[in-house]
Amino acid sequence: MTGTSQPAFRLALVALLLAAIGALATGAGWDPRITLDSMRLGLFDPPQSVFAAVLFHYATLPRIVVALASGAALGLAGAVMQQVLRNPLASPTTLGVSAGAQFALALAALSGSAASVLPRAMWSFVGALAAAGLVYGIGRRHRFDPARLALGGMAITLLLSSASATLVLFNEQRLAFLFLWGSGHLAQSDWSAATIILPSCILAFGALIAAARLIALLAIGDSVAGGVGVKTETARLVILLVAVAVTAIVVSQIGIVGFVGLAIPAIVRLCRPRSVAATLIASAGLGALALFAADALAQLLSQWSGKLVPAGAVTALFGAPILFALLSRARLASRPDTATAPAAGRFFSPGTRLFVALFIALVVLVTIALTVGRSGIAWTSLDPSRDGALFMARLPRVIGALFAGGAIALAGLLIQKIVGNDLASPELLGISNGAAAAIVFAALTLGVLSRAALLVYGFAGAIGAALIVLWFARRHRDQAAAILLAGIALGVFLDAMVRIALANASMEANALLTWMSGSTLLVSLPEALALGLLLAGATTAIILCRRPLALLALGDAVPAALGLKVRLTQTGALGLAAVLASAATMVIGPLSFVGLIAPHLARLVMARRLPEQVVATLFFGAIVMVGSDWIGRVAMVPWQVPGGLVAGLLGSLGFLALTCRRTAPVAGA
Amino acid sequence: MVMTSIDEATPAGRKAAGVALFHLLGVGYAAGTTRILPTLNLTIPAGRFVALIGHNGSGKSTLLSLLARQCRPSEGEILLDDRPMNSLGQRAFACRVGWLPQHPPLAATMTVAEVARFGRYPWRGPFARYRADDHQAIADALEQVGLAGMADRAMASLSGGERQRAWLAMLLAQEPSCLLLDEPTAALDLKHQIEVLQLLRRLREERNLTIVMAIHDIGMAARFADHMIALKDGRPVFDGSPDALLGPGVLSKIFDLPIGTIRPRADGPSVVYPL
Repeated sequence: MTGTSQPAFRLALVALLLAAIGALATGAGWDPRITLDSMRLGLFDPPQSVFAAVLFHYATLPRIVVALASGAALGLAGAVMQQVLRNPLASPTTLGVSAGAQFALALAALSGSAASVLPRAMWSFVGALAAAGLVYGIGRRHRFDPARLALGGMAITLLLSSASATLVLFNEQRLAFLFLWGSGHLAQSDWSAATIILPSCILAFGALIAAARLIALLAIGDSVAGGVGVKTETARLVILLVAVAVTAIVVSQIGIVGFVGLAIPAIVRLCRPRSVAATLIASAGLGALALFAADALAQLLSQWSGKLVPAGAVTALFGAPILFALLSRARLASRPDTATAPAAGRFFSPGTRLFVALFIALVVLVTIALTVGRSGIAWTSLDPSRDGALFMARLPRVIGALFAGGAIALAGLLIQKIVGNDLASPELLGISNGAAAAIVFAALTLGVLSRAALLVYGFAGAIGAALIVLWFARRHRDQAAAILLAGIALGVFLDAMVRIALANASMEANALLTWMSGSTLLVSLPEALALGLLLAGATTAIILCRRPLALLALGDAVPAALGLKVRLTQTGALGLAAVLASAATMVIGPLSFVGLIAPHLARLVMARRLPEQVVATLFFGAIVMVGSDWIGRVAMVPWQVPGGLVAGLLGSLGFLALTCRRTAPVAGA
Repeated sequence: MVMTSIDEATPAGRKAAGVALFHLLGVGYAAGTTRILPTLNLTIPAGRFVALIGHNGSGKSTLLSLLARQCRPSEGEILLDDRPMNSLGQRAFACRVGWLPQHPPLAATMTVAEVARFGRYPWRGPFARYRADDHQAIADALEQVGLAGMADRAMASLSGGERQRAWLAMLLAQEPSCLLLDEPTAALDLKHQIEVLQLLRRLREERNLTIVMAIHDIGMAARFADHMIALKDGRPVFDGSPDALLGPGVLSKIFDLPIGTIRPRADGPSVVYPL
């Protein structure tokens, strides 16, 4: 099976599969009242007297049109973003578009009558564009360096998702709809959404196909494109604007269906079409079929289970395993560009002063966290000798936050070393989601709510997810982008399951949401100390194995030629990272992103050699987590904001500031 | 076309070929369904400076990767010192054979000295302390490639030639008895090309190393190497001395291009030019 027919053949196979699933599911879930006769009547101008025709005209038909057009728009936008930014991980979700829409929608819903000057969809459209504009601004500062732009998108997404989560946590009643909206729900009752989405999709499609040659040049690289006379900045801005605008329109109408934009272009790329135009057309086509099939399945599942299953969750539920399977068979053509390091002659050594400063900062912070509290408006200070009970109540919480922050930070550093990518972290590789999914399902299906039982379930979930990533990394040890993509797919898959579960269980949802946001309230002292012991052991092991870990930075071939067992080293390190990450997730939840941010902070203060990086990362993780936990305790008295959520907010702000700096920190990846 | 007439496939034939480092016995390599190297029998003599020449895609890099155990032959067997090459452990093999790819990693966030230090990994492994002789080997290696004064410079701040020499320093610190180099002079200017090739030749003489080097510049190769192997579409079409390679008509046949050679001075190097 060689020759020119191969890519077309593979694409046709995927398309056929999706179409078959869609058709079968549509058929199986078909409302028996809608007969062929009523379809013919309802196609254009249904007579009001025939209910089935009205149903067909105002519910079934627009829903199919919306699914097809939205899927095509998202697939197309994702493909264009990935080409123009030369980054296989770029997508509407990773560039902040979806998070911006969601946050704006939450704000609009809370501000009540003040926001009613504009319809809801308009708010999310504005939010999406604003977030994308912010990301674009960051990219501009770095001359559109693809890696920097992707980092900026990640930072904005993190910040806005944490902010949305905080809003939801405190306004659960009024924002419950965000759960559903955030999972993409395509039910229609008229043609209003379809008449907005379909024309914009067609317009964007035409414009982007016309620009296929430009997109191809930008995909090769700015120097080549500039060399043949393309105004690269302008071209990229305009092309991205079209892609972002069409995504924003879709998201504002149907909610977040994030996975199509990421996975469909990846699937298309794995089939290796010959040209950029073919990639775009195939992405649009497969995207349309994928969302159609997902929505049909979602309706079918909703009918069977009697519960509401949103289509966006179904795209993740079925798309993630497909992407996963494809990734494990084929090689991904492109990989993200590594950030270009400035050519500093000599490295600046942080010296011991840095570690002394970090140590003092941590000690001060722990003291504050243990003694300073707030009741009402008044600040209180606690004297351990007089109020021992309160002190002993706070102690496990502070120590738990300290060790959990250190553990997740160290796991992040390890994973970044293994994958060779600064964007990797346990939160992004689905390991934390594994723990969350296991706990949510244990709580919802088995009714388990005892602390010890949840610990066991969470641990099993995290280890399970880590094992899947591990198995994948072993097959693709040279494919950093593929491993990341698979990890994200796994995370999105697990998150979709959690969303489906929570969308139908609002009573228990809030308690689980508290845990998922990372509440340290429940930690006991023995648990915290056990975590500390694990952390000490892991740190010792990493410092001892610093030579092999440093060699991993040289890729695959050279370390192997020097006698390093590359696969064994990677496997061992990932196993250790998984243990650390799952233990930490138990305490601070899956959303903290300390594992992503702490290694970045360590690099920022010029910790370059591995032992320096390990120690600095540990300190930063602990400082951020203890600080976040304390802020969460005192910020909104009498409510307690979970520390993990505060860390997510603070961390993404810091991360944002980091990516905004004009020059990248010079330190080892 | 000059080929050695000894049958390398038989033990007697191998003995007759002199002391050999590598024996390739019916080795073929295919990536998927694409055949890159057809079945070939070849001997790499020990203690020689061997230049691998041939057109783009002739299989030079693949042959070096096979010798470096970076990929496994799809068929046949490679012997190192008359023993199956895979009988050595990974680090033991790295102590014996050093390999540098055509495009080494960027290593932007490392210093020159840190890259050179990696060369001692095969000898000390993950845990053993580096001793005085390790540090001496690293210092010597940096001295020999002329980077002693730049040991704590960032790799990202170096020119292409300096970076190439830093990787060469790693290979020298590794102290293998055989060096496999994939176009080591490709990134270098004329002066550094000469310096690197002189260094390699001196190393061969002083440490009795075996060096196998893929190279495009035939004039340079013939001037410094003492044994030439030419590949054409994956098949060895020449195996002999530089003088024989520069003989009338030999190069023209290898490259399908009329090529002339002249030697301006009787004791000087030859010049190779397309006619």
